[in-house]
Amino acid sequence: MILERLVIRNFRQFKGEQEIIFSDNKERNVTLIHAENGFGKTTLLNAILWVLYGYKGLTPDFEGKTHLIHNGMAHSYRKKPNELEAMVHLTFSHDGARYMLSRAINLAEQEVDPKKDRMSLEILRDGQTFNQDRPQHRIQAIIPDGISKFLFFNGERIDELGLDKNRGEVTSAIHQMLGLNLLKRATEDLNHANVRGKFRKELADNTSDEKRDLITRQEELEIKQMSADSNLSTAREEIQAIDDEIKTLEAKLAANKETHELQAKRAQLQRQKEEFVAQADEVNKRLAKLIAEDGYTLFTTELVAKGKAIMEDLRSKNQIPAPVIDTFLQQLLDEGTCICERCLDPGSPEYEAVKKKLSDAPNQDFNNAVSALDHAIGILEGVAEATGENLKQLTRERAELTQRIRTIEGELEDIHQKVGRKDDEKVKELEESRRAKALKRDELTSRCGSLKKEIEIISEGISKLQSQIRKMEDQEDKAAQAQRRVDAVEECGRIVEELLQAETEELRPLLNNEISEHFSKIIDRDYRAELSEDFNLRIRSWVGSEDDERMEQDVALSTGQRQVKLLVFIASLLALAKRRSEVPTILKGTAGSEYPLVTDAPFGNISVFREGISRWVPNLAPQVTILLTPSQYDGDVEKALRETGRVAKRYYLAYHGPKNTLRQGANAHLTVEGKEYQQYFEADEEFTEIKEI
Amino acid sequence: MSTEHPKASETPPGPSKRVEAIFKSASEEHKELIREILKEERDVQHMSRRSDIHTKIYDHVRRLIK
Repeated sequence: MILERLVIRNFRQFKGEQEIIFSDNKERNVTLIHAENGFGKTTLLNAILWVLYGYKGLTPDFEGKTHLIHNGMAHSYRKKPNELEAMVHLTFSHDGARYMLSRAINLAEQEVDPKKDRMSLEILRDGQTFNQDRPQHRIQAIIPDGISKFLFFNGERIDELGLDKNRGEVTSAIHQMLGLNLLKRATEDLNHANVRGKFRKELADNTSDEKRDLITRQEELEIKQMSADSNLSTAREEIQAIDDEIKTLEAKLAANKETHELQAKRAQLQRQKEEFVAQADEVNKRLAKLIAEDGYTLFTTELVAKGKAIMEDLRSKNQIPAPVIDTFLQQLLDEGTCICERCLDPGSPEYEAVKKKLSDAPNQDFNNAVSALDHAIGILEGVAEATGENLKQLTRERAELTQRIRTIEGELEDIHQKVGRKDDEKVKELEESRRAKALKRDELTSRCGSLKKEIEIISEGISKLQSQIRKMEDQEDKAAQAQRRVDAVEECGRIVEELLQAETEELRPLLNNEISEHFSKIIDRDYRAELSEDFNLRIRSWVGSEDDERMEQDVALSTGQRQVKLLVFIASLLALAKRRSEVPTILKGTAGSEYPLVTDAPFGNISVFREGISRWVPNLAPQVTILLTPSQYDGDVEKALRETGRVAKRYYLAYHGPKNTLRQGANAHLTVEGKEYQQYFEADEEFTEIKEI
Repeated sequence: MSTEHPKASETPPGPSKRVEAIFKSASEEHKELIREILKEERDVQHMSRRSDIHTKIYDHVRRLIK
């Protein structure tokens, strides 16, 4: 999807009809929109989201969502509400076709239900235009709303996407952008009761009692699994809701002058704790993997020593490797002469002696086995040593993290006590309520853990039953046919799941490399990005000198670095999705796609990294639109963007408003590339104009 | 600054030998079924209502697996 043209009419402060033509040039792929804060950057971003997804697509920070029509005009048309409407039109290209999408709402409709609007979509393909009957359905297929927050976002709020609780959304976005969602949905559908369950029922109706029993048991387990899955997702939703409530309470505590500082400290500590907990979780997973795969080698020290001693003993007795092997003795007998030059005539005592030796002599395989044993002992010894070292390092890392978490918990408890001791009754009440909710959240978190374990056990039981059922043969034709269909559904489900896993496992390191490469260029440090198996993005670096023990550790990132991490992650994901769209895939529909990036204030908190971001992000994403304030477009950003040679289009937002309504710090004039443009005009009515530079 | 990472853009993000091997190991009947299912899924993968696609998959299985 490449954006081409945006037309907005009477949408919030954008009075009348105005347009933006986005750059669609692959080499010059950047469109810049300059605007002071309050002039309409967020509105512009939301106009794009509204035309794509309607009311539910609007961002949480977009205030007054129920009033999308320009206020002044709405007032003038209050007596003829059907004659005034807000409209957004977006033209974009996708998969060889041009899409023309429009959404509108008139004043009368807005007053009844601002969530109900009118939408239309026309598609121009091969010179012919088609009207799409279900426009929202088509838009969702091209650009599901799950990935919109990774494509159209406010850079200053992007940090939230990196939080642990949003990991599911990150995974889902990766799946969707890289074309893997198709495989995921197919697996879910194949395993659904309406498909697999229906075929199983047909089988049970036509098969033996014994097999029917097993099928019933399997179905019972699957119902249990579904119920556990549903409980798990409910618990996660409850945790999310409690988290939101806690956030609200904490915001109130932060706003209170009595507790402002303590709450700020608590927020900082909580974030640190969250990071350490995620790191400890990762270390635990690594430990489990290490123990499961190589842990046994730690118990082989004695065995290896014993094996080595036996081999040494045999070697010292010259028994291994075998000095004489059967082929050599057979050759002597065939040639009729011994190495001592005696004749080996058949029947002679010498011949019989050599023949007797031949019957006991080892062959070449014996010597090969000796070498293999030597090699295996060496490997086992090496793996045991490396496993021991890794185990020590991970245990040490875990102990350090546990210690850090405990220290933070102690400090958090101190803060809780201090806040609870305040004289202000309101503060006490807020703190108590916060505490009660935190306890409830902990309880739910622990419940999630036991549900996950329960699901694991049920899954194992289902697999065992599945294999038992397959082994039982059916006599009846109908039953055999039903079994073949059940087998086909289960087998296809397994293959699709395996394809998804293989694709995911192979794309993850590619994405890692992509992120690492760009992150280290921007941050200018020896950092390595690591996307864990469950898509937790961490930044790691080596600590310790060459002489000392070097170990890799998670880096505690600053707010700016975290923002850079996520921007680079998104841009790298877009770059990978684009490259993936250019190579043939084994199954049509599982390729990646081109996506645009539209970001409001991407340089908000990233201070020293602005220059790097401006230089690299346009190189990664296929199409970039940046909305930025004059202060964000400072010397470094301006220079870096100019040097990329990628900026093709520029616009600025000009604000018209009553006298003295210009915000403090904002200028009446904007300077871009050395030229000055008037961006504030005194007027009776407030509105914003889009002007091309 | 790190230089040890392989160039990201040098590795093709397409189907690997492993992915190809998984698909090729399936029987022709199953390959056909998977293709049909994914074809149906392409337009509805984002939808929460799944009953139509379930019916379609069920019909494909009945048609292809005799």
